[in-house]
Amino acid sequence: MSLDIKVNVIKPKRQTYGNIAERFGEDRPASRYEEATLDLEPKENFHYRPTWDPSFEIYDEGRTKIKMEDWYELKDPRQFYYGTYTINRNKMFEGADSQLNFVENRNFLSSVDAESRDLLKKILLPLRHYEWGANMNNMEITRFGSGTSVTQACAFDAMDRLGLAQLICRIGLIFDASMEDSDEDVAQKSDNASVTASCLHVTRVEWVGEDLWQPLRKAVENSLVLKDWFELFIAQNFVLDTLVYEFAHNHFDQFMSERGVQSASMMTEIFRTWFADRDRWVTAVIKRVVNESEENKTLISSWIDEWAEQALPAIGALADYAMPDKSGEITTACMDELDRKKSAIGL
Amino acid sequence: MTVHKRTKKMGIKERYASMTRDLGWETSYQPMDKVFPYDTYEGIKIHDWDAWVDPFRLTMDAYWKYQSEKERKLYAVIDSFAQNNGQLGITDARYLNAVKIFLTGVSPLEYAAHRGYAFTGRHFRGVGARIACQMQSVDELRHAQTQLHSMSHYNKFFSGMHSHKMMHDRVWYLSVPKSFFDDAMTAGPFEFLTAISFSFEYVLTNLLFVPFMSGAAHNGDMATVTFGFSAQSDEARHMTLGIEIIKFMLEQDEANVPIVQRWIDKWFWRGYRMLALVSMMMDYMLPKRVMSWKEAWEMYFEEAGAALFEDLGRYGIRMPKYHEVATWEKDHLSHQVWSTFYNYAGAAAFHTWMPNDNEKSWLKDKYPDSFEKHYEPRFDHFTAKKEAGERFFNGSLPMLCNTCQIPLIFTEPGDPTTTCYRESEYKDDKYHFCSDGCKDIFDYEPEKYIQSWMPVHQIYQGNCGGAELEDVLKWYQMDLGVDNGDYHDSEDFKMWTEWSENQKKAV
Repeated sequence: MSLDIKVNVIKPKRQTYGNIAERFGEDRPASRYEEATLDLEPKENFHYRPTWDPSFEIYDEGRTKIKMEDWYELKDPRQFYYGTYTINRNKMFEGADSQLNFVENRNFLSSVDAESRDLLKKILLPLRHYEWGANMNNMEITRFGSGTSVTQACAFDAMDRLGLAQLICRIGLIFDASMEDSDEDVAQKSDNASVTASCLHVTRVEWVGEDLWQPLRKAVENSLVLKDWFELFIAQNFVLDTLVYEFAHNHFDQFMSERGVQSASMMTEIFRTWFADRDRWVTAVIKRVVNESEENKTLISSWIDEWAEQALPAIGALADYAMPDKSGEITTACMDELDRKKSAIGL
Repeated sequence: MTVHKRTKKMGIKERYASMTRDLGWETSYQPMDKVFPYDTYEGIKIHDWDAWVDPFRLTMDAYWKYQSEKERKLYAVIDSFAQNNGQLGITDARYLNAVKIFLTGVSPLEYAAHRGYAFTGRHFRGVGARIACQMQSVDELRHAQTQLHSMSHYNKFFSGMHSHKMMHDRVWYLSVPKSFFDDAMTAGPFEFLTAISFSFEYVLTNLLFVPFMSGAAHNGDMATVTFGFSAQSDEARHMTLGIEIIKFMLEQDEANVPIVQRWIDKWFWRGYRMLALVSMMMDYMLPKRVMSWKEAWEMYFEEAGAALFEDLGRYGIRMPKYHEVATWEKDHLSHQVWSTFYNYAGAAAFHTWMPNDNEKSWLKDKYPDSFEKHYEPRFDHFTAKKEAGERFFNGSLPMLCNTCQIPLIFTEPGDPTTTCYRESEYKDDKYHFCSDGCKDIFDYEPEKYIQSWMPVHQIYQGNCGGAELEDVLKWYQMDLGVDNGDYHDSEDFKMWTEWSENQKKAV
């Protein structure tokens, strides 16, 4: 049985904005995603050229070698606009927060053996700087990319990366707290206790100076100076992220589990959830660009190869350090994952 | 005795720093100047980015929490507004012409701000400043999108809102806000923040954003006012960024002071000229007035602005140049602008009309020194013509100011009967201006302003759809005879009258 509430019906003159009806080829209602996204970026009659780079217009499709007939083809399968995005991420990160609280309150980390704990800190914590590099790169694309459908998704991705970097910081603070607790068992709070810096400070020193991290830092810094925004998209969101996430949040995570450190997986679960979600978008974008033309396909293929070459030593160094017994095997597995994704997008 | 290691618990400030500015590092595989190529050429000297004081301490998880909560509430209101024909609750369909100006003139600026703050959010060397800009960047995207969603319902019933985006790129009077923001976006990162965060968001926001939102509240526009309330806390954050960037530049090096002062002078005047559109909205377009433009100027600029600049006096900053001209103009601005749009209603994507007797007495009351003497006779003449069936439309194209792009409609400071003309010669060409303020801006950076996309020049050069006015209006994507013209001859008016009669019958 259905209820029939009588309402005052007024016939509308049109269903949506003109630019959207034109794209549809008919006047029909549009989704919120469509109204919030399509054609938002100004297209013509710019008044002045940027004083910081007069070779380009304010918005300029010439900022990448990739050519698209219509940049709005690069839709986000998650249909994120600001509202849906923030609501989704609030939920996702609240989940992560309760996992972290659980680990912290139960003091799981203090029961981890010292060697595993050090290794976990060593591999996991400096990745906050990696995430920060990813934030910068996606902000760059937000400014210089073409078409709101891809630039807004990059803005969201940039904010995600800041959130993930901050989450790693929180994990660092949980390590600090767990040290404190285990120390208190040994001695009462005494004036003699030497106060050490938070492990986050140590982490920063390692990222900048320790051999282990230099190949990755080098790759990140090289990406920070890229001028072609779509090459940057490929380098950061496809190549580097695939390899780093495959290594750190898949193989290394499994390795820690095998050593009995399940709390590591609990703390980093969000990285896997997040990556699966955003990878749908990254894959959809690249797939569409590849399908556009042979020229695009060739460019993307060569960019992937170039950046895979840059990233390989980074993954190798991390694998050598973390899992020396099977480092070759792990590195190959990471490269295989990249190959698998490459063929999935039609390359 | 056992000496053991103990980590020092971080305070909130330190904890926030570890989650933000600690994330950055001094690059060495690539030089810092290549990673951040754009933050030195303006001449602003920064010795210590660590001295940056974070204007708000918001981690991403907290940001998502607050913002998602606000979004949920806002969209619930937007849905219910649409479901219950909220458009019937406004005071009068004339009001929606203010919404049309907002949607075509202001919402696109929110979007531009999103991209502009993405630039500074990536390219400032200081991490703290970058993060503040990034949050503002996504906030601005929020504003552009929620405005489109709030106003989408009006677009289904009323004229002039269907092609907001194309109109912003093309229509003559919309080149005023567009060139304003293009100017800021093509400036360096420090000037951009001085322009938008400080001059616009901090000094002038009470004269732009607030009048539109208060107008919505007074005129029963639930959709827009809900958006306005929802954006309030974002705007408060943006304002703190505005004051922080100014203080930071001024405190870092004395040599920054004259640069910042020049930017303040420029962006005060540029912003003030753009507010001309707001002045007419406040005095003529709201069926229920909030306050007069003159009152708003007195309260928000003469009082609040003066206090702010007195405060900045300790850094060597003075009131913006030509503020006294703006203050003199408060008696004339809205009348001169409304009169112009009444003239050019044939070429605008919103409707105009002459004030009725009630409204005229309000204007006389608010403007005792100017309305009756200088403007009422002209308006009575327009009204008489309209009543005689000869509604006046100006068919010629006006001369535009090369800086603000408003037609040369303003009068000499101190003399409301003489039009103000200024000009400069540059590389054998002559450029025209509406004021000394606009002429100064051009003279300082002529290479920038000779690039201006001037709508009238472009029409004469044949770049706007054709030689006839009708061709140009079609190119503007205007629905002729529907979007433009006199309010009382419009479909909006006809439809509104029918709805009102039906509602009366129902009662």
